[in-house]
Amino acid sequence: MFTDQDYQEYFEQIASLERLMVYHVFDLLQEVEDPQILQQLKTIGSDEKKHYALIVRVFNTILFKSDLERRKFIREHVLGWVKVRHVADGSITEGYCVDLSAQGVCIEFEDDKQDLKGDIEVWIETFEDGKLYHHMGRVAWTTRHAANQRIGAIRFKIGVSFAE
Amino acid sequence: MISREALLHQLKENRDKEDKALPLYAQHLSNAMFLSSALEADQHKIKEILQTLSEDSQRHRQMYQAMIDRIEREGKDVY
Repeated sequence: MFTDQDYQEYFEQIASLERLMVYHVFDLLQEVEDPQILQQLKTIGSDEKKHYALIVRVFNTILFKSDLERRKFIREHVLGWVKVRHVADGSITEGYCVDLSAQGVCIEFEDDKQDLKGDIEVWIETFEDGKLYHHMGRVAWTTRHAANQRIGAIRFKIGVSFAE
Repeated sequence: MISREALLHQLKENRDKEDKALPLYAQHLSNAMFLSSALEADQHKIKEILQTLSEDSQRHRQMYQAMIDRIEREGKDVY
């Protein structure tokens, strides 16, 4: 028998893998100049964004409607690049934006970032339209996904609350 | 611009990710208990979505392989 948690874990695995595919395609699009390969990658990138949007729809409108209703702020599942400056030591690290709201952002990394705590400065550039965001914030939570690691997907996330 | 080696490496990784995704999409589709607690219309919608993801993944895999084959055939150093 499948529980709500089983469904959540299963679709989160798929969502995590789809996001990773989006990230890797958009990373390549920044570097490739060959027109034929660029076109192929743009087609794949567009499909991967649609796939992710479909999975988000499964979560939000079909499976877990009540969770969405309980959320204080509407979150946009906006994917993009993120640069994070750790205020304590000035170190810079790069990750990806999972979702964004007026209150904060969820960022994921391909490596462990256990030492990323406290106050941070965040720059976000969206894949969709290159919109830029800049915020000061504080790391509110961190999580590591062992299941995602097994399928080679993204495995470390942080939640950031914006200061302003 | 990106070097031939770096591009090949990333294309192969992306192709391999598509391979990993395929069994994940199909994992529960033949299980009658999967989504049995959801409304029939929702069950149908979700299974359709998983089917779309699976078909697109196979197509992407072929596209990645075609790019890899082309780059390996050519003598270019950068792309």
